[in-house]
Amino acid sequence: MKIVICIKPIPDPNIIQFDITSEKLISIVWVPNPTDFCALEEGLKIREKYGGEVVVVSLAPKRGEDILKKALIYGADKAIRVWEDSLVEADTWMVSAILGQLLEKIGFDIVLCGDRSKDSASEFMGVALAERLNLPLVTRVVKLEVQGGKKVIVHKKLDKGERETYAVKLPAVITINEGINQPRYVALFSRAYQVGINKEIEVIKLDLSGRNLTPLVKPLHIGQSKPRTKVGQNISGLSIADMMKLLKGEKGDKKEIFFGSPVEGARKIGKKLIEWLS
Amino acid sequence: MSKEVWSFIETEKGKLHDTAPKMASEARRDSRLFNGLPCGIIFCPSTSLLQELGPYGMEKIYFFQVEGNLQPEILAENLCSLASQRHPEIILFASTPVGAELGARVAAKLGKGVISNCVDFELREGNLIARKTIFEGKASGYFTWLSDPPYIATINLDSLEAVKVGGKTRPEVVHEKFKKPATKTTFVKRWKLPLSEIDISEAPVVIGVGGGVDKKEFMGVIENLAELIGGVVGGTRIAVFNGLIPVERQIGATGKFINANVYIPIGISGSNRHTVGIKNVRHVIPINISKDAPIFKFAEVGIVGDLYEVVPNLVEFAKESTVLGGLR
Repeated sequence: MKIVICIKPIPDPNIIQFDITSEKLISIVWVPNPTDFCALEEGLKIREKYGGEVVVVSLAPKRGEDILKKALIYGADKAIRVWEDSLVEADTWMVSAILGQLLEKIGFDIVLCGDRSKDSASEFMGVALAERLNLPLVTRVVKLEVQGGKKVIVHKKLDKGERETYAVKLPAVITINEGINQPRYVALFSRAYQVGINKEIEVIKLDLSGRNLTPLVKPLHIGQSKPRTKVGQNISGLSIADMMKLLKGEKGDKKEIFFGSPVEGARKIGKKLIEWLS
Repeated sequence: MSKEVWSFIETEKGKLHDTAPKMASEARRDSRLFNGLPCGIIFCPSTSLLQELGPYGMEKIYFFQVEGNLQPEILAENLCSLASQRHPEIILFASTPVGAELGARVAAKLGKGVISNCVDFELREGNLIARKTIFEGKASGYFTWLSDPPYIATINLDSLEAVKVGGKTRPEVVHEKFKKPATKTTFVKRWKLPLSEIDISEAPVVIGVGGGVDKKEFMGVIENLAELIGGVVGGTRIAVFNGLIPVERQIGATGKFINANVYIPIGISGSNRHTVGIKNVRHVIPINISKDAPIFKFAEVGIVGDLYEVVPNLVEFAKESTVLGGLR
């Protein structure tokens, strides 16, 4: 079974900062998207159980090699990097075209991606890839089970603890939710580490001349983070202290505090529960 | 003819989803940007649901008569064929699990751009600009579409709100023919996780325990209560240290953030590091012995009393109440 995992290099969300004066992101360190590594972990688990090959692919410049190296250390068999200098401003739709072409070239049984990236969180990559390759797709998967090498049973995560089960024939594209597993830990200078660090990263050049590659979405600039101003909450008349309270989620003066016997109190909660839950 | 702004109205088990009125208002709000016509698209068994959307300013509803919950694949196919006939200006989806996938699928099928998790829209020199949070809220990114209309966007759930408008309340209903295409995936079933396995961040009802619960055997009563009202037990760091709950049930800065509808903190004073985790809760109803506990600042209704007396009474109430039993 050939399992292909798509990995996106992103600026580390934990240390990135937004500079107000220049309106730019500063202190960028490139790391793999954490959800993609959950997909890698799932791929490795399938390989442990059913055998096969785990290939990681990424569309990244030279700096992305560290990320692919990390995937090799985790246990991937092969890493492939694609890059053209003309792809600096590529959007998800373009990336999906290139990855799609690459996947057709190398062949696969199942494609796993993270369901959303931590930077732009567009949730579009897996869907676009499935559409390009004309494959079945299930998104936000929290459980994956291979049956007989030809079929997978997946659980899709919905709201409020609800799940949907799908049976999908292979080949297919599955996007993995980060709740599915905890990526393994590989100790420095352990055997897995030594094996992985010595593997080579393959760089493939694709012939993109015949393809119509135009981006569909364009980023303009970056600004300060602010929520939408809602109609329901008029903040113009509020003092700074009240606005801070609103920001923290405090309810203000609307509250009702009950003193009295435990029986009465319990009844009050019960009535409120009925009102809110129905 | 004015341009149409479509919003996808989600239904669940034959009822309107929580986001339905909000999405109706959203279409209304965004249609004002270029004097458009707010329209809705709904897949449901009967037209009786549609009148509920009138007060939120829907002018026109494309109605597909169909039973049950459908796979996003089938919905996307129907939406695409409708969009290629009617040429709307914008198609909006709520960023729910269904909406997010559907938005991406429709965009990919039509070959148009999609901007997801948008917070707001604006017009600059006639171009529609979307603002969305990037890096988990560290900054806002401004994006625009390079493809032709329809512009497809999914909207952040926190940004949505339901706003009623006065005046005309009856939307025009356009009946559309539902087609069932062949699907690539096979739907097996839809089910609900047992309460013990639901993650605390997605549970609809959460009961929190804190330092006030100092008898470990009392946890049995609280778990019983949770079972009766269909909730999950979580708690503070102190509760984890005392061995009342496992560490993955911890709420707060070092634990998880909850998105429940109702949260009942029992014996929790409400320090800042705990209350950051309950910011997204809709109704908080604490039980605490001290009336000065900071948790009451977050409360809609608060009970001042001994938890060892109030909670058993609440269990009794929940056992007797047939209404609560039916809601589970």
